[in-house]
Amino acid sequence: MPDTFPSIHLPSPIVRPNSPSLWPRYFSHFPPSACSFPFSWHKTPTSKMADSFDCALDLMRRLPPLHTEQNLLKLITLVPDLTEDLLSTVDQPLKTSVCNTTGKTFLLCDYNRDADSYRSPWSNKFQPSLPDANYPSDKLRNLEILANDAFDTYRSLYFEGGVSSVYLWDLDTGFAGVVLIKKTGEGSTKMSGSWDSIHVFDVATEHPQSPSTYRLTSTVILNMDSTTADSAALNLSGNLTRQSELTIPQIETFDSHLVHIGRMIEQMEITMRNTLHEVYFSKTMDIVNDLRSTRPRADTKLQTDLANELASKLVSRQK
Amino acid sequence: MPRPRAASPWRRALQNLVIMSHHTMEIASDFIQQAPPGGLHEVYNDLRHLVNDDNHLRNSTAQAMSTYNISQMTQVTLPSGAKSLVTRFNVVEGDNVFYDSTTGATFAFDHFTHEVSAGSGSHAPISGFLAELERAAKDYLNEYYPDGHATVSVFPHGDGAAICFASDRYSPRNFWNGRWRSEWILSGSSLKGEMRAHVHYYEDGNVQLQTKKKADVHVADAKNASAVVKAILAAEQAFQQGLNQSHSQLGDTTFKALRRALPITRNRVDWEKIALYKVGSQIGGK
Repeated sequence: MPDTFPSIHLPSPIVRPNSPSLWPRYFSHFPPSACSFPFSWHKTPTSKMADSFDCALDLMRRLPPLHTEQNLLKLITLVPDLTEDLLSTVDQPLKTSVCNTTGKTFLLCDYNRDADSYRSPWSNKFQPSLPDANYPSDKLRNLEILANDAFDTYRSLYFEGGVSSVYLWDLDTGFAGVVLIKKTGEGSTKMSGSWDSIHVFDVATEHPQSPSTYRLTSTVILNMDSTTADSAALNLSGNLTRQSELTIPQIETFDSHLVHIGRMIEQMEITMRNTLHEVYFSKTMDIVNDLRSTRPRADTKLQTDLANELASKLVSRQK
Repeated sequence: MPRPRAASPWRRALQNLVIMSHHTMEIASDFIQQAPPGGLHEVYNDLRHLVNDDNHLRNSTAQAMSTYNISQMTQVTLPSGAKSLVTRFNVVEGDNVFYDSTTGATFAFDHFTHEVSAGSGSHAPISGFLAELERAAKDYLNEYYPDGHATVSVFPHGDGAAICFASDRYSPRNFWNGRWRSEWILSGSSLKGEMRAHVHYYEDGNVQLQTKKKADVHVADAKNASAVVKAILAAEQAFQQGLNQSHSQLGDTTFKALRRALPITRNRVDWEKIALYKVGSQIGGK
């Protein structure tokens, strides 16, 4: 019943489930309150760390998303104390690596990293190898294998290419995970694009018979470039984040979690694809055409007059 | 619990960066230069919190602020109520006193607060051909640029003229801001221009459109003000129409090729099947 799938958009602030290291995953509507005081040059700013973190995130939401990686490096040079928090919070285009054991490609993120090694979802091994590294429990690893298989299929159906990886980790009251998908468009020499999905979720279940609550925070990073025939350069880049929550009264088996997570992520990506299409291909160009019109005002005025005339005729007919 | 990174590529890149930038203030200046339309004050405020040394920040980023304001062709409202521009073509003194092309009135511009005050000296207003050019450009502006959001000024430059258009629309309530600017240099019969647009959309995210194009036009009747403005109109129309076209092409082809709206079967994924019965590889059509 995809159309009746429950999807609730939460009010801000958006809090992501804890990563294995319990670093806060945090996102809020901006401008955050700490930085939104009236512009004044003589006021002494408060120097609390939380304020700095909010301001650092606010800054990243204003600087051009095309340069997120470089700007993030510069930002952590400016505020080294926030290095780990920022690296684990600011979403960047995903990097890939090849699994030494299976030869398959996998995606890298903070959730499959331990020290300087990354765990392959295909072999469950860290690269480079890492003594006493962290692994999911056997039960969860089994679900992780199923999930990687299932999302590989999902990816091939929707993206017809690209790479996906799923990583799960144990929590006291359940478990959490991340589903990553990356697709780079081959396109032509004139146009190119890339899509990165980062779905972070957690599942809370008190005991096997009690309801399970799924919380999902999804970010899509979408970058597109085009050079027109008359050599005008156009870049559209950015990211959007959305959240949803779902409660299932009782699940059949432990593996059934994957069915609910799968549907939830599919619904979210469908919604976000619509929003991205709206923002990237309608909204931004509408704004450009608001800055300068391709039709002279005489034309526009004629159209407005016509519209007004029509409207008044309609009104008089209704009377 | 993962341990922090030791000598990751991040750290190495970070170290290189620290060596490269002698001063963190260079980073602050760099961020200011990247500020989106309508977002300069917010970027600066964020930096104030991060740097936590107002005087140092202010002194170290004065250059970046003035470069930004001048290169973005900031629109200003003069004490007289008339609108004017801050550009590299109408600097009278230092980097903060400018003159209005139409009246010759000078004004001081505060690069931090964007406050405008009347200048003490005066400057010759444009006259003759330049004044004709500005009148023609204003007629064009009134036809194609939104009322009250755009300004054009003509200044003497070299042996010819500089014609500057700026249009800004800020809608923070709807989480978007946008800026268009175009700069044309007329020299003899050569008309060289650079047109740019920058849009920032930031509701639960950060999406930016950036585009620019250079144009080089030969104007046969370059002594005729309306012929020059017609050439500008033609070039700006071509740029914007091309932009609309390539923009919708990106949406129709590249975007659709990245991710389908639905699988080729036009049905959503059967999660019971692919998650629990491990027949995923067959469904995937491999």
